[in-house]
Amino acid sequence: MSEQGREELELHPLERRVLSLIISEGPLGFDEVAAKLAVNVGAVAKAAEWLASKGLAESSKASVTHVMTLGEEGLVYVEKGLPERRLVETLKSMGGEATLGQIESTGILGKDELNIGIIWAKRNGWITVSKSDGEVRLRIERYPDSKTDDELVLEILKRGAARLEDMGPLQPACERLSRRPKVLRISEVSRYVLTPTKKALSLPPEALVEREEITQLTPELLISGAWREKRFRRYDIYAPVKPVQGPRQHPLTHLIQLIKSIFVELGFEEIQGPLVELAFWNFDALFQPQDHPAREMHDTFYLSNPATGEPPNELSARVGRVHRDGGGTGSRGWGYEWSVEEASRLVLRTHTTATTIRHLAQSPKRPLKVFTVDRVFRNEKVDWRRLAEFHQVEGILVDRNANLRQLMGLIKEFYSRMGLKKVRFRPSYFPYTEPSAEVDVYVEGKGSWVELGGMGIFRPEVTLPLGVKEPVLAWGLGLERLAILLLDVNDVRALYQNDLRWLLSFNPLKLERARVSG
Amino acid sequence: MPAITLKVDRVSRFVGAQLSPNQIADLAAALGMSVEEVGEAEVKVEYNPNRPDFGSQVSVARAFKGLLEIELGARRYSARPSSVVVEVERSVESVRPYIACALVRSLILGEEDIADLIALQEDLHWILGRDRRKIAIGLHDYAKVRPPFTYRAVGLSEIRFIPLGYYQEMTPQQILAEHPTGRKYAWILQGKDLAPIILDSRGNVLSFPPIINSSLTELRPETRELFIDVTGTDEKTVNQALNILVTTLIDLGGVAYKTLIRYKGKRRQIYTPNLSTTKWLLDPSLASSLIGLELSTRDIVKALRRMRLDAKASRGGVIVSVPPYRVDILHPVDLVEEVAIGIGYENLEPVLPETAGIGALLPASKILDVLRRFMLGMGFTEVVNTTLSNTERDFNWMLINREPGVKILNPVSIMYDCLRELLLPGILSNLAANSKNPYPQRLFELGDVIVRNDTLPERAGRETHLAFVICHSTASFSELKAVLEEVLRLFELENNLTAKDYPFFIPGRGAAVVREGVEVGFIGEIHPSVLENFGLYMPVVGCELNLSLLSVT
Repeated sequence: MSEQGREELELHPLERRVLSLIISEGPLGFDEVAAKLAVNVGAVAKAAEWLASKGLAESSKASVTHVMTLGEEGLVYVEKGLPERRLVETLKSMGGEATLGQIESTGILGKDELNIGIIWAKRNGWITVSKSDGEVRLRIERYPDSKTDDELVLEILKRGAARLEDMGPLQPACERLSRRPKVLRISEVSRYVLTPTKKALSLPPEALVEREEITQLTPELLISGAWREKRFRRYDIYAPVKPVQGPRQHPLTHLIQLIKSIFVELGFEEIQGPLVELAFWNFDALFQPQDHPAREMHDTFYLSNPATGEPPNELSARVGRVHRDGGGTGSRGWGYEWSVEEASRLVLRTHTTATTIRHLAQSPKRPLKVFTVDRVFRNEKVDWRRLAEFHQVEGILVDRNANLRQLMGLIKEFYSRMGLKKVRFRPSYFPYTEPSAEVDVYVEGKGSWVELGGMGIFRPEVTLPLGVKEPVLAWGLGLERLAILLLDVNDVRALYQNDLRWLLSFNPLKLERARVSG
Repeated sequence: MPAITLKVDRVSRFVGAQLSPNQIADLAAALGMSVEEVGEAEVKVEYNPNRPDFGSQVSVARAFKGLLEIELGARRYSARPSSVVVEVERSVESVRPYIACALVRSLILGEEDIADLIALQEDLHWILGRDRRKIAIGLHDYAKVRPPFTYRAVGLSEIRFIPLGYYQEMTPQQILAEHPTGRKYAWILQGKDLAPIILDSRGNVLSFPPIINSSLTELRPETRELFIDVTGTDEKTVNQALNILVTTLIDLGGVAYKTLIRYKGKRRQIYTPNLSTTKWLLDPSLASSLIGLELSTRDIVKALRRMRLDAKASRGGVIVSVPPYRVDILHPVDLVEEVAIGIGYENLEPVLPETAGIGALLPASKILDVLRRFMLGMGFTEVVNTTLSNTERDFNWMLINREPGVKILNPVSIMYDCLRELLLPGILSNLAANSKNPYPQRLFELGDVIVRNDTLPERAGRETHLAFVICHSTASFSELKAVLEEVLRLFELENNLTAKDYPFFIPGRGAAVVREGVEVGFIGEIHPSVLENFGLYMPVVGCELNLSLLSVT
């Protein structure tokens, strides 16, 4: 159905009145319409514009007229008479002839007026000017008995502005006067005429009938049904409105929910572990030797109070043996004297692997598929790239036939469901996995690969002391790095600054669509 | 991670084939290095600390040659006998008990070679030496000294020599106090009143490990014979470091000679370096099953030889010989990774695991999602703050007069010295940071706080809290109480407010939320002193609930 076909004629009351007038009286100038409707010409022009946009009226420049008004000098002349008239009157009273000096001495004409008067009186043939004995003498040649055309024009204009076109035979006088400085001004005025179009003329008469318009629909109008008899006033839908913002979910928790839902879809159970953690679970159980650089003070937050906790007895002994000489795992071990005191120290966990290893130590379930998305800590100076507290996406899969290619497949599937379809794997190193790998994702917008996380198969030195015989696929992926890519953030600190302008600009739909379309 | 710059021309020369910068980057990545920058003349990479042998360009080239199949299998390294003896006196036992030495002759070292050696030495100091504590290396011009050598510990003022970088003799005591290098590493000898010293037969000092060498033996471009000492607290690591250095020098054209290390009074003497390979037996089915590929013995042998390991098939599996510079092979699984890298990770096609599982969120996660949606529905915007916090903000500014339950020992930044026990301080700082943004502001946070709990092995546990605030020029207690009541209805906990004063609320405008006699939260109008502390000049009403006490999480 075309827009035209179902268009309902909606006219503003003024439009309706203007249109009715020009339909009944024929084309009219804006000024005439304004006069007849007792509104100002500006309002008529506005209505004419609206009507034109609806194809109901056309305004055209019908004519150009010239309006005359008196200038500064003209206003003086109207009162006192033209300088040439006053000159001949003065001469007449002096006997028809006088010297310039004599006329000046009367004070009837100022010096400038006298000059102008002489020029025009001479040009009109009213006087002659002669010089003798160094004196300028003026004499009446022909005294003008009746009013000149110029004087008639001034008299007409004394009553108000007039149009040049209405002046008939006086037109040359008007033009003459307009050439005299500041006497008479002629300005051009265009005149517009509003003409109804064919469409307007074929309108049914009821379209132009005035009806009451509803601004606000009220319960009363609904109950009484009175709205049926009325029209709804059209609104200016372009008018600005007061903005409404929020509330918004924080982008990070939104992303975390998304990630959790993906792992649930992939058949993983969520787990959670302590943030304050024993060095034992954070490091020792993961075969990280006690002098490993990652355990240094400048990488790990240690606690001063409480400073130590209680690692599990029996397991500690087994883990200690593995560190020392392999403890029957087929490994050579690190070859040093392991200290349970060092393992008792409390740290803020540096990775969520502390939680998966705890779970692995407790859960006899096979196969086992668990994940966690949670906070970890690094004792680092915070800058635009680094935070001291951030999130990891961690998980393990324990199964008899689990292998490296499956681990790659799983991580690839995860990123693909996040909308990052292109991934690659590189060898890497973690003390607790072997083989190990690093995953990079390709970011179309940046045109480059971005490193997002590590993974591997837990070493026998890690799993055997826990009594786990099956291969354990493990991964720990960065959440904030992913967030930066997906949320288009430049400074990682922004994720925790909670600037309302940023929070309220978050577009969860855009994120979801990017994820789905990849 | 340690870094190394691979010069395109130099590496190409070592490899024996002209490589492009991109080829070098790809090879480095295939070996597990992380490529940082690819330039026209050089490629900057970082390598993993399990491979300290990647600390020199010539040894990286050695690995490249394997992947390029220019040279396969392990290169044979050996050291010839020599008459050089190092006597180890018992005095070093309590300070720095182990030493391993080697002599390398026939060297022609260019400036680049020396720069490489020094860079390798520094990386080894860090990776294997834990900043020289565990091992420290001395490289000496052998022409300046005469064996036999003695390794002994002397009193800190007992001996004088000119240390590197100085022109006058100093005692170890003076070096530790005045020499920049001495001051930097003095901590390693903290609490010891002895200085380990290596002397030659004429009584000249070679080195004061792990601090500094004597200027006498400084390397020069004309140095043709190099004497290496590695001292330390762990004998295995001392030998590993020596082996990496010596194999690198052999790759640079040197000829290595053994030295006899004689531990006096212990009847113990050993020759170093020991450049023999280590034998491992790899079960092919372990490689196949961990990698997830059906690999024949031949495939495995081929992949390992590409990784510069010697491998041959035998009845019991694949016999692998690991060269002396590889310090990262602890278990057969390490060889499995070598196989995987030898095949190339890019050749391992990812497959989805077949392992079935039933996915589930933690019940707490589901409940928190419900609460989050509810708070959003109530018109509150979510904020997320860190658990790391500081006493000033969380306690002093809040007028809470007690110590935090958990304190951090060693924060790098003073921003963090404790962990949050309430969410409210974080949200108040969010409001302060948003004072230029339009009001009203309605914020909430769902997050964990940390509480001391000595019944737990880790002495501190997590509790989940919900906090919400309203901030605008006419924010009032009743406005927030209406929201709280709606929240409490969710928990079927209506009418559980008890008037109570809190240091951070205006007296008479605070209340506890109590369930069965236990305080599970509070609500109130923030005290102007607290607002001032936060730099906030707009009224705030706030509420915080401990969801763990409500048996929600």
